Amino acid sequence: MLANAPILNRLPVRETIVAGIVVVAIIGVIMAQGMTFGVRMMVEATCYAILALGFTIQWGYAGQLNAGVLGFLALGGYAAMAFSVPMNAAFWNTDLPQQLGWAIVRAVFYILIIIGVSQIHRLGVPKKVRTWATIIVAFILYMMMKSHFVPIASAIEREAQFIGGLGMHPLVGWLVGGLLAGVAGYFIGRICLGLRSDYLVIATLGIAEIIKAVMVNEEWLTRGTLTVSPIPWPVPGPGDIGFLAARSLYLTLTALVVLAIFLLLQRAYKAPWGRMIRSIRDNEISAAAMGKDINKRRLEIFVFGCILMGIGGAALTNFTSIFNAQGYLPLNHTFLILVMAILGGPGNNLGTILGAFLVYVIWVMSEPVALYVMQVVIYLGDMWFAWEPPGNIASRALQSRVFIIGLLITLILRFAPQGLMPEKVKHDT
Amino acid sequence: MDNRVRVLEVRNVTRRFGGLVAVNDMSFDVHEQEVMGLIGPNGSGKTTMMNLISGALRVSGGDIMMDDQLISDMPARHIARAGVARTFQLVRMLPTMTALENVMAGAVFGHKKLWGRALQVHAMRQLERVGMGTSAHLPTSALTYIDQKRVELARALAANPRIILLDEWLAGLNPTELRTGIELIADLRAEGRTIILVEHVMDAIRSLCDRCVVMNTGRKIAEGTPAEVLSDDEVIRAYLGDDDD
Ligand SMILES: Nc1ncnc2c1ncn2[C@@H]1O[C@H](COP(=O)(O)OP(=O)(O)OP(=O)(O)O)[C@@H](O)[C@H]1O
Ligand SMILES: [Mg+2]
Repeated sequence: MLANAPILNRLPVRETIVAGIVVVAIIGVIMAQGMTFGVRMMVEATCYAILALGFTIQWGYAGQLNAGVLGFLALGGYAAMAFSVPMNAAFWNTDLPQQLGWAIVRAVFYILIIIGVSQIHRLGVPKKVRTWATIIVAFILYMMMKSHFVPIASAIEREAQFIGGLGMHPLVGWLVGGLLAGVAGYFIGRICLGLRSDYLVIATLGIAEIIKAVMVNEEWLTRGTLTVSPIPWPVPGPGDIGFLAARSLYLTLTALVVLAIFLLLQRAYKAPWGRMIRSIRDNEISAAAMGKDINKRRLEIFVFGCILMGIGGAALTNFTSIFNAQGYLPLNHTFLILVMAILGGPGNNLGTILGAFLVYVIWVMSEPVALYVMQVVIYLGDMWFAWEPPGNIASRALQSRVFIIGLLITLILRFAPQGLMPEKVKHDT
Repeated sequence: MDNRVRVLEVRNVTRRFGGLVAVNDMSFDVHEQEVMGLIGPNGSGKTTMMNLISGALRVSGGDIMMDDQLISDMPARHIARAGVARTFQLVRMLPTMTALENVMAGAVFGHKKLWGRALQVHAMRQLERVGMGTSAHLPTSALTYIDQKRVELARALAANPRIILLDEWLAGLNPTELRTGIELIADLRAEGRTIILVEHVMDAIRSLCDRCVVMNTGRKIAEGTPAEVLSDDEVIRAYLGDDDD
């Protein structure tokens, strides 16, 4: 009687077909563009799969549409860079680290003061007074903090360009990247998850741009627009063992990360915590009537999704081997991920991974295919009408990606709004 | 009656939806181990009253106390953990889960925390109690509406509640099922639970309820034993309409 319920009481036909399409697409890419290209694409696709898993649990499990993936991804990328790039002697050999250390101690002290002031309502001060007092104190201390930091920051930029990295193993950076994104997600979630879901979209969109703007402008941390490279790989690099072997090793690593996250999510799905999350997703009102703490679980989901985005961002940035804060673009690093998750089926982890691969293949191949099509058109135009083609064909072909992704979103929303592998949920309204 | 312990106290509770006053200055007490019927014509505010007690809706005015705790300003989850469980008039199942998982979901915040196998066994026993033992592994979508209501009761019982709110749980049962249902509710009371019952089935009200509160257009119009309130002129008028118009 108590035998465990069958998990899948049907053959995984849909899963097999979609997986088959993905495999065929990858083989197609390898045949058209070569093995090194194909492996590179797969590495990037696995990184995107991590990002998309982060997105899909937020959206699919908690209905949180996070339009700021870019921000969490960039935090992960920053950590990957900051932990693995060698120590910068030009910085450490001066007394700047000491000055910076003191400035940080002061900053922590100021933050404690601000937290203290924000708690004075416990002493009987009216809440309104407390709020204003907190804002004013925070503003004054922020200005004081800035006055400590600005001279140090410009001295660092002048004498050492930036503080450099910590020279640790890159995987430390991946973990810290997840942590950093998770901490950011915690604070953002505390503030924003109370918002209605459409406002959450706007808030996260804005926050991502703020994170990016800080990274571009705090040159002493990130070298700003000058970019940092090369970021050492966690596996032997192309310089040591050649492109194909190095990329294959990297692929093994990222694939293992995807696998580990996938298994973890599947386990959590069946654990009491997962049941709690599903009960909230299925019906909020009855979940509350059963004593579930909806807001807390939601915050956990949001933070967990952000952690995955941080790890994915670290893996992706590390692979490109260059940290360029300006290179984080909403189209490439937020909307592409959104499309992957919708195509795969929000909340369906396997679907999301396959969706990530499929969309990334389309994304990567749209450029060469568009170029090829344009060349055929030019050839025919020239042959039949002696037509003079415009000169910048290659960059026009690159732009076709935007068009293709737009088209893809439209097609999905029209023909498969639940994604290729819908997660069966009936929402009560 | 009054030597019994009062577990729930509703004092001057009002709930507005915009201009509509769905619950208007309601006051009543519920005693330990009592089955209290909340009756009244359609749209009189019974479900709204249940939602206010369980915390699914906030009161616009007035207070609800459970023992010495003011529950009307507590979130639904805290009220649930304080020992109030409910079923819904329009069932609210967790559609991606099996019947057993639904019940397990309800058990987590019971008086004692259960995990793993013990949790499964506990959930299974609740299902058997409502006669759904053989359907434990069916997905929710495969259950009839009546069966879903049964699972919902099992889910409520899984939390081992002190107070159970049943919103038209007996509606739609055939005579045999009705008899079993009435027996089940009587058993729950015998176990020491307190039950608030919203019901239109008069047989059930007569045989189960110690006391009834009658509502009409959000107000309490009568209170007493089933026999008393069902012979009350105002109650009859509320149900059958005024002879004069
Ligand atoms: N969420 C809501 N928003 C607006 N009006 C509501 C809401 N819930 C209930 N009402 C209104 O409040 C009144 C009381 O509704 P309620 O569902 O409590 O009645 P009821 O006594 O349970 O009726 P029934 O016997 O049909 O179940 C009705 O007029 C209903 O339309
Ligand atoms: Mg009702």
